Amino acid sequence: MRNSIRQMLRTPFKLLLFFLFIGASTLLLTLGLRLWMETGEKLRQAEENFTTIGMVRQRENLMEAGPVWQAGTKSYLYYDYPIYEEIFSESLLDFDGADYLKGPEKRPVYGSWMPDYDLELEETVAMYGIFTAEISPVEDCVPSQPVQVNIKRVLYGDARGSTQCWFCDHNNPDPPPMEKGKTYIVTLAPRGSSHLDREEVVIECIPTGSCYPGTSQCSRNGAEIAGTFAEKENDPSGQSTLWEEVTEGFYETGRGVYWLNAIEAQEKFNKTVQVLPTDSLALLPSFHEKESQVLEGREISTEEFEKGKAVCMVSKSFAQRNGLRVGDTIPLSLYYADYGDAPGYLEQMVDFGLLNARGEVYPAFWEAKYEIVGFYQYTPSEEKDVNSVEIAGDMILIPANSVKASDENNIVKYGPMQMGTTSFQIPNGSAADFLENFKEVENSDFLEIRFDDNGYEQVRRELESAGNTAALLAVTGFLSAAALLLLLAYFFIVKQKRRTAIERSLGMTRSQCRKSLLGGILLFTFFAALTGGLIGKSLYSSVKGVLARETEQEYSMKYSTWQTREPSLEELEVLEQQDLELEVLVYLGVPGSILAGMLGISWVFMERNLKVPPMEVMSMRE
Amino acid sequence: MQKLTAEKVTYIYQGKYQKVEALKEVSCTFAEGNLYAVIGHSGSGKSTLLSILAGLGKPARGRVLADGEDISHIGYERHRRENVSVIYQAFCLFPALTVLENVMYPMEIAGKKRKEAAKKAGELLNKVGLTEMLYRKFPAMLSGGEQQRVAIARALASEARTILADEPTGNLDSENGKKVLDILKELVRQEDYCVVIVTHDLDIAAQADVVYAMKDGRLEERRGEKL
Repeated sequence: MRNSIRQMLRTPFKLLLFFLFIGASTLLLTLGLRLWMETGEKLRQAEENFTTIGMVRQRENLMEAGPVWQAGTKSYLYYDYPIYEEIFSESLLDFDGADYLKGPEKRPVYGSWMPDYDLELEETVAMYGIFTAEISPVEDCVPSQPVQVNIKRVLYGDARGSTQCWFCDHNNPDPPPMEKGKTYIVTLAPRGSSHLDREEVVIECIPTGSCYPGTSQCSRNGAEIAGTFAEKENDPSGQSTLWEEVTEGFYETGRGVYWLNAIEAQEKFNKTVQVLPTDSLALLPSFHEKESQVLEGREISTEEFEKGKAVCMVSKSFAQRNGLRVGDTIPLSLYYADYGDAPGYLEQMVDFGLLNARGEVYPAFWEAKYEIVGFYQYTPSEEKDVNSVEIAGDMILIPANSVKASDENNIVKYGPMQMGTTSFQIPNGSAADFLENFKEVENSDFLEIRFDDNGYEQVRRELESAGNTAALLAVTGFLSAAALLLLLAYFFIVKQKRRTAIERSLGMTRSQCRKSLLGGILLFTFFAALTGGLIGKSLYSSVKGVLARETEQEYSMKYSTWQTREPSLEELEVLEQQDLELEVLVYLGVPGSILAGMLGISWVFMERNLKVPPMEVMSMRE
Repeated sequence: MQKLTAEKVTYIYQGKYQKVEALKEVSCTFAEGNLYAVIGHSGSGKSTLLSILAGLGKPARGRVLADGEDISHIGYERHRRENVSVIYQAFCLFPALTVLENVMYPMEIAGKKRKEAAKKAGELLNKVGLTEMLYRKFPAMLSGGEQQRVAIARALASEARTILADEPTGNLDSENGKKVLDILKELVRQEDYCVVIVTHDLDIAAQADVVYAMKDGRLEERRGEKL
């Protein structure tokens, strides 16, 4: 061995080249392999962390401009509203070739009566100052202009001590007359006067639909169910009004009963929290885009979703306002299901009737206590169309399967699919194929599908590109290592035939000859490979640092969802363990493989050397 | 070892397309205190005989005996270490080792301590007429004659009593050739070595005690004959 090393050291230039070549190819191989593994790992993580959801909206057949009377200016304002000739169900998305991870879900919004809780909605209600009252005009009048009325009795809300107000019907250009001495019931919304020609009118009260007895109940298939309670007789003028006369026994029979029911329903609604049933948080756009995040506790687990466990997530603000903690239970009393509106829309406007088709307050269809598993917070990153927002203030999220009773008798509205109500999840990278297949489906033109992959495609492209570069590096390293090992083995073994022959003629055994020649080579190969591996490790750290900075800039700005969640300690430990295993595999495995390769190749050449008769070699001139 | 004997040795080169019988039932004996010459034309089989005697090849038939014991029983490596030393026309020194290290090499193989080996190597180099100035030089820095003398010193280092020399002066000029031959003769005369020189130089053969002639793989002794 000593002679072996000595003889190699006596040819320093050759040895230096040997060292450099082996070191360089090991470096290339380790760096390439490590980067390749790293990008592979990142791709795997991307596959795990990124999800692709599709959000669906039914396109309207046309937009129609509808007139809205403006009593102040005596003119109509026209608002566009969508017309749907047919409302498609989400089953339209069940087609051949649809590869769902989670199939299409059209979420209703449930209303849960929570009389004992402090709700955000109450503040809104108080702010608008709407009240239902019996009024009586000071004189005979036509309320197409502000007319003075006495407020005789407040049945709902707060008139804030007012006994008189200016009343004007803004819903009709030609309202029916009101008579002095008669009493009328109406829900009033006070607001600044729009009648600029009437300086004396500062605040006017206009009739509003709240507490007005009406129904919008629908069947499961979306058909509206006609009300069976006493409808108001149309005014002879043909105008429909939101106010009507209070006659003798009004509240005992007929319309008055339903007015009282509507008031009760409104009061119930004011203590109602929106509840969102879903099969997965991943299907909720705001959670998918990480605009909604768990602040305390945890998410509802997959198992809980599947088994329909009575667990829920509540908004942090709701929890704070009501002193709730993770682990507490809250009673939910679900009494209506809105299949027509996205929660974002409902925050702006409630345009369904609060009474069922029989004119009654909707009874609860499902009551159960739910355990709070986590608090979330919704922080939208940009202003959004209300129909694409699936989270509302104080909203409670529950597993859809936890509602064991049917809501079919409590559907207050049925409408087309909206981005905020309908979504599905597909495998990453399959959006283009999905759309291609979906194009073949009848009526597919009526659906607009927006995919959100959190930037997965971009990340994957870049990672694949980085992975290809790394693989190229690794393959180059591998090929150069193989070529160099062959070349070096040729120079250091094959060309040393004479040395082996001399050693044999001196009486060295085959085994001693092998040791003598291979010992030094393997020792220097080991050190060269180790050095190359260590330089590769340090280069990898530098490259990783640069890549990490670039990635952070790239993804934190463009794709805010990329790794926004800090890993837990356990996850960190697992990641560190995986990283360590990879490091051991690469930084010991590669030099080990180079050494093994060198040993293998050298052994083969050495055996060939040993087969040559020594005399034959030594008879030749050098 | 006092006697090296070949008994009806036949050696066949197995080529890719043909077999060549390089030695045909060759029998001969080489004893201590004698200088032997094996002469013959190129390809006559004289180097093959040397190789077989050195245990570097195995005969197809027949056997080689060292003091009456078959070298296949002794073990070929051991035979090469203990019984014979070989000197080649091309010197066959380790180019990356110094003169001293080359001579130390067989002793180190035999397990001698480095210091002891270095001392002995110095003595042997001195014996073949090489000064200490050359000890640290590499073979390529020496003349052919000096290199061959290093090879002789290395042959002596193993303490084998039989030296097999394959054309030892073939690469040397006549002056250096004479010096090398003188050393070998001195080893025979003064130290009772057995030296077998394979040569085609009849002048060298003329100085041998016994001359064997190889022709077409057969060997015949020419003791006392005029060459």
